[in-house]
Amino acid sequence: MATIRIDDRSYEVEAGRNLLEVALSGSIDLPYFCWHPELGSVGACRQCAVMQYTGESDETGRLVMACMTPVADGMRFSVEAPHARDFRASIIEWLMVNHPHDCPVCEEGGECHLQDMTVMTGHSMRVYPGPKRTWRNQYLGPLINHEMNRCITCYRCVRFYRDYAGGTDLEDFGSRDRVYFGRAEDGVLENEFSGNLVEVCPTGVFTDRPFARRYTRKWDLVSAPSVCAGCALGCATLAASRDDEFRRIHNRYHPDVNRYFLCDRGRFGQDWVDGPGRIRQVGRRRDDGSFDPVSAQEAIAAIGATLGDARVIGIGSPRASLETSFALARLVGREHFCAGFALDETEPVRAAVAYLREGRARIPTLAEVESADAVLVLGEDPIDSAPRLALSLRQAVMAKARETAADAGIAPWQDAGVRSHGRYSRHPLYLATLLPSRSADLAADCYQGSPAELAGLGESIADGDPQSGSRGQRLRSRCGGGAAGGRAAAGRLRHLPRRCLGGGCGPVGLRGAGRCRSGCRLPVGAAGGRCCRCGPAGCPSGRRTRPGGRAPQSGDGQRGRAGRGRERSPPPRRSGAGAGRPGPGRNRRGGRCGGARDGRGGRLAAAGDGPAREPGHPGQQRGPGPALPSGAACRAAAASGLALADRSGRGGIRSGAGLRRCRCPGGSDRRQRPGAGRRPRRCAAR
Amino acid sequence: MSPTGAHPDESRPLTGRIDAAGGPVSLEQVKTWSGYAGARRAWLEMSREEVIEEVKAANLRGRGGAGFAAGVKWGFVPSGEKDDGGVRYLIANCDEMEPGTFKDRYLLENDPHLLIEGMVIGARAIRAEHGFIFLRGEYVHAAERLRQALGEAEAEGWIGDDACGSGEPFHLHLHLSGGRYICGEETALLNALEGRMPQPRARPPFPPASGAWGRPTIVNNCETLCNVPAILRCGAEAYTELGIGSNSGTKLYGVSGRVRRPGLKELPLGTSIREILFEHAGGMLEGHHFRGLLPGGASTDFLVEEHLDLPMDFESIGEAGSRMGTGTMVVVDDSVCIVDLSRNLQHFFAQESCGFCTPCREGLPVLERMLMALEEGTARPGDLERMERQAGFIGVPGNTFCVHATGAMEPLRSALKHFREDFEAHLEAGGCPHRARVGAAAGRAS
Repeated sequence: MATIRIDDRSYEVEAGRNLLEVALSGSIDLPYFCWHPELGSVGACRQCAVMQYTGESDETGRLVMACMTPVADGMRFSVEAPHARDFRASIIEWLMVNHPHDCPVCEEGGECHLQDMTVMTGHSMRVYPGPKRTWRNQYLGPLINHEMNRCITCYRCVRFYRDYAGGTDLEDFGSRDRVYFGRAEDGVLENEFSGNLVEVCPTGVFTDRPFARRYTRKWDLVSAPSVCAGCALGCATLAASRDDEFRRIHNRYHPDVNRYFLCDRGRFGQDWVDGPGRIRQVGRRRDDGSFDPVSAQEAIAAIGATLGDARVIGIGSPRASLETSFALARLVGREHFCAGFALDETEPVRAAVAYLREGRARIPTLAEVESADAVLVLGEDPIDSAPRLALSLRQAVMAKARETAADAGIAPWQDAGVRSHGRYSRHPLYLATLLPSRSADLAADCYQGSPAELAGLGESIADGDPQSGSRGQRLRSRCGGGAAGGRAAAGRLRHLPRRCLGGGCGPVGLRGAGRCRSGCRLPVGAAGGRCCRCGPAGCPSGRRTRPGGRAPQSGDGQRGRAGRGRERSPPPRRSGAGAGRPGPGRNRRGGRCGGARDGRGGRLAAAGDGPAREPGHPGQQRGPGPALPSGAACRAAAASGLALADRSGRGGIRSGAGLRRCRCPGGSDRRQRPGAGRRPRRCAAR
Repeated sequence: MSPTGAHPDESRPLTGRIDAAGGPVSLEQVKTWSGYAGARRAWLEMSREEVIEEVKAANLRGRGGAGFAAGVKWGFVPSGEKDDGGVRYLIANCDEMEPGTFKDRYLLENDPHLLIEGMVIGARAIRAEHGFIFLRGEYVHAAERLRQALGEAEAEGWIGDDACGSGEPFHLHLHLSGGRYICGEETALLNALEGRMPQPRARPPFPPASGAWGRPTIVNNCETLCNVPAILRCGAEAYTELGIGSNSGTKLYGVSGRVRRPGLKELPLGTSIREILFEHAGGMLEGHHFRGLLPGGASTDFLVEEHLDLPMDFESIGEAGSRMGTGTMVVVDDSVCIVDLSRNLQHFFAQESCGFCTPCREGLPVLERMLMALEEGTARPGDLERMERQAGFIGVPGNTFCVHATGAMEPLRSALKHFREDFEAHLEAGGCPHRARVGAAAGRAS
């Protein structure tokens, strides 16, 4: 810790952090542009200048850029010094020289960082009489609008897009006061995280194009905290509506999940909220296809009348929320309820839940992924099944640069220095996928194989290599053991699958990391190639019923797999990772896009895989604000067949975008008006 | 390698051979006149540390403008246990784009082997495996001469896999710059060399620790490296004695402007401005009166009449509030409109800004426009104060990302200080009185 003084007030701060961070944490108003909490400091805009004094007697001081100044004990600064204020006002004045005064019609208006900083700095009168520079804008696709005239050249966009997200098609071109941020030619931005440009840009250069389709001013929006339903990660979002219509998704900071960034699918893929196919209320569909709204009581009575004394079963959906499933189970009775998984999916999920409960496996948060020394991704291309995870994997790989830079005395927030010095430093990432992964540029090594081969690889890792002596533990420790371990694992990655291929790995599902060799078909979890239930003595549940399975034999754990499984039927080639989407629902493109299409990673069964959002996921529990509509609830709403159960949930019906339906006794279907979280939950009609 | 004879003029290590040859120095002349004797001594008779110590003892200060001691800079490269044994680079900064400066061009076009020998010695000192000559793209003739010289040096075994017969490699490459002033900035040069945007890099890391391609790199000015052979050949003591006072060695001084004999002259470091200007450059042309001079290219503060007796060295010029810079002075006489000159210079610096930081990117064009307004007569009252205020913000080192804009402010701020009446006259006259006067004179003549 260090004690510093800013304008005659003392602050206890962490030594080595930059002054801008420290000042902002201390609620000091200090304008800035190029600095971003996630992207670090580069010192381009020179906006955060403050006075630094060398000692008590120093009256003159000198200007320093807060974002580039590490704090140390005893330092003295002034934010309010007239010279510093004047300098900051000059910077704003220079930035505004070429900035169009189109604020009244600018899409960024109302949440423009430049506007805020200009007001904060006190620059209110334009004295520069010259003309403004103009640019030709580019078509950047259906999601992002480009308006270069507004650019203040803070370099944030390329630093996010190119340096942070690994995009290759957005660059800074030119020099002097004509630096252009765009593509080499018009075209759709290729990166999966391009939507973040909307938020990263401090002004209105990159704006949300779908949002601008309809007239909206930002201050008219009604926003509510929500959780993204796009994949299993559950990124925290802020959903906004106007006139009872969903308008946009913005990022909502969550320290362990998405922090500052979302994927494009999460940001732009939410139009289904107001989609015409969505059933919004209880009703009855007639034979002629028409749909008559009825009250819940009426509907239940009608169902009762139709069914009479017949036995009723309820089939839910794995895409439904827990609340929905619970309500359905209560309606039909537990013994008549099916969660909608196929049997061979249910068991791995159960086993996985059991692992998690027993603490034998853990789902890392994205923050933990980013702090990993080495990562193995098995059987998934996260860019498709959980894109935000892919962005975290990139940060995990690039984090090595910060370590290298730290050895050279460069602070981790010195972004340019870190990237320059640590440009060749990468933590190892190994990808084992069905098809070429789009994250391959990051990977130390890639392996492509059939589902069976991938499962075999996972099994080998869980099991240990039969020929290497101390087995799984050793390999696992290598995998987590930094660069050297990473290299060892890379070696494995190259030769293990080949051995598996020769020996045959037995029937496995795509997402399974191999099945228990006792034949109970649960995924491998314990040593010896067995699931966590089956000890060496065999399967306690007597489930060894799968054709081709065999009774456990002593010494299984030590024997090589060559020859084993030859008698088994070949593994069913399944594509699509979507749980509970049997048969025709599967994506025929193979596992790569399965998760992408149905929006579910189905990740629980994957060994060593990334985080999945399950009931215990912190993403849903730690978010600020009142009881949040969960991502699962959103999915439930999407699953139109479950509208009835959805309606019966407590706490008002939640729609996917996080808007609350009115709770007034009559059950009006109108949505709440502004201030959904705080005001009484009554619709405007009452 | 044949044995070599003596250098034709040891008192002028930079241009002695050129003057003796009466023009470009041929390979035979190089070999006859002490060719690569310093390099051979460094590689075959001395350790790395000894080479660095020798250059340190010679107090060789960088000739690119900052005047940093070359030997000290070489010593920053990790050595001993910190040396990871990987590749290192030595780079000669020949991206000479400072307005009014043409010293490197003269050396490279006439005696490229001098630079190559200096780099061979530098490579020995820092254990560089590869060297790059980063040459201004417009120096086509110098490039031609360098290419030829590099071929000769390779054939003679001075560079290559077995540099100077030492058994160690030193490969030298010629790189032609794309033609941006900012590429002369040490770290922007590294970015340009790597094929990146020529924007200066954040420090730390400093190039001796992490430079080109993330490896230890030393960037020296062309003239600095050209001084090195003499130090190794004659020893630090003899080299030190060449300078005047506490200065050591010689300097290639240049004079441009309306003087009788503009051009370059190698003189002891510390020669007075008056001597350079009035003896060696022959004084002002008939009918022109001295008003001031920019001592080291465009990015240095004006010096005026009262400074003429100062010795032209780093300390004295620094104490007078300017910088020696490249040591090639631009003389301003009474036929030059100071405001127009300032506008011209600001136009240059604004054009050459890399565009990274706000004060440089946006501030310089604003100042250029203000000066233009003065010239055109559209300036408003208060513009001078505004200009001074903004120049004061831009012109302090540390307020901008690199020193490009700081350098740009030096002539402007000093012009406002020494020639303020010119600016005020513009404001009062509603345009350029100078131009009106010259125009009137031209009108009378016709």
